[in-house]
Amino acid sequence: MLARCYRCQNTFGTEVFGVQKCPSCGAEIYLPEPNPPAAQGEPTPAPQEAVPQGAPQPPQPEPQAAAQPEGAAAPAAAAGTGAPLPIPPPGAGGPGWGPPPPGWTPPRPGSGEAPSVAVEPEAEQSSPFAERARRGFFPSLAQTWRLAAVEPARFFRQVRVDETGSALLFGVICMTLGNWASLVFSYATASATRGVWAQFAQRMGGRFEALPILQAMQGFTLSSFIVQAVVSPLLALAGIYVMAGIFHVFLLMVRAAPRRFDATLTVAAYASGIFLLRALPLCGGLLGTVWFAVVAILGLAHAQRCGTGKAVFAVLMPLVAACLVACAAGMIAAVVVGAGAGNGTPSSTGL
Amino acid sequence: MALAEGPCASARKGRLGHAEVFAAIAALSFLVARFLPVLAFPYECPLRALAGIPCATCGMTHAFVHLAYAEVGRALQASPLGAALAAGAWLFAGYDALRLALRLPLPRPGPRLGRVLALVGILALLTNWAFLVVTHR
Repeated sequence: MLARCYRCQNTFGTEVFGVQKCPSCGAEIYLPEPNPPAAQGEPTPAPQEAVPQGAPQPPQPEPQAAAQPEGAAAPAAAAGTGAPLPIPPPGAGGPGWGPPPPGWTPPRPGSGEAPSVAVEPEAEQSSPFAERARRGFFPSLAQTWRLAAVEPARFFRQVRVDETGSALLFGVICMTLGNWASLVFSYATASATRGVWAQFAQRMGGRFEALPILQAMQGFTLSSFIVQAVVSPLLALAGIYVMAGIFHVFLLMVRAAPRRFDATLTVAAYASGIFLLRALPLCGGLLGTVWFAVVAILGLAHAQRCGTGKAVFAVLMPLVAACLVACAAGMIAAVVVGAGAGNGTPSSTGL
Repeated sequence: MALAEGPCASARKGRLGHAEVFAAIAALSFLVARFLPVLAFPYECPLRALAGIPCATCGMTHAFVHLAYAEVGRALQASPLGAALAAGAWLFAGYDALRLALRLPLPRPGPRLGRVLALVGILALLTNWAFLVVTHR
């Protein structure tokens, strides 16, 4: 019969059910028996959808097996029997991150072609970067970045949250690369930037205080450049932890952290990979910040299983609270100062 | 550095966990505040520069540095929450080092206590911000 690997999507011939290795990628997969052996002497029906090698293949079984983009394994032989499939044992592997094979189309809803368990999407799996030893460092880094940035809902719903070491390494690498590129750009354009700020301050006629910026740019020497480059990974690691801590505090306030700090840290770390965009000159920082907020919201919603509203609260509330309190405190201060000025006015005018 | 794969796993394997990373960050903050000239860096808060209003974390660097030099009054004046945060962070770093040395388990607050602490922390941050805005205008 033919089976399709959930991970590499390649088909291969096999004669046995159960746990086995994919000959293409080596992933351990679980091929459930379509009809488990009947007890008490009942006749065991032959697998109806088994596809023997060399025989003409019926049109349905293989697509049905591949019709489980998020499913457990690829039970080509089990499709269409209608019998509930057994739950794969631990270590039998999870769904793959890769796209479905070319030419594959999802089954029609309600057509009865796929077994009910084929739509079970919640199996967790390691991120591609956590499997970098097998997939290769740079391909796994690129694939993880793409998943976290472009498909954050699917990625954070499925990714394992107990592999925080890989998540942190991913975030630190991406943030460091972005910082390094940004530093190089800032260092290369420091002189021109100083001129622009000075000209801007001059045109504003003293209404804009550019001296701190100019002093900061003046201090941007080669030595400070090297120091910043060296401490960038450390700052990235600390930044991810602090960011995750802030998110988690707000999640705790609304009882939205059922999967504890590991899930929040995983989201913060993988979402921090977006800051690789800081490598883009000028707009990279702003673009990365906005994109990070979106990814963090979707990531927390799915990784913590808490819903989008609470995730929005956790990510944006610090900013909103900051604005509200600043406005309120500013108004209070203005009232206090105004009252003081009002008290003095009558006496000075003699009214 | 061997990073943990989760608190439970780290406890079993004897590797660094999240608490140790936070403790290391806290200890590092003391070293930076005590031995690096961070106040000499000409940086101004963007919110203060643009709107004339200090942000919620304004004065924290000064508070950390003053407290690292045992200038408690000046630290409180710069930012009360910053001074409290610095003291708490450094006490936690010391406690965690002691806990590791004595192989004591990490106490885990329950979810209710965690929520209460989170709420108290947020309220403290907002109160501190209002204090900064009123006193530093």
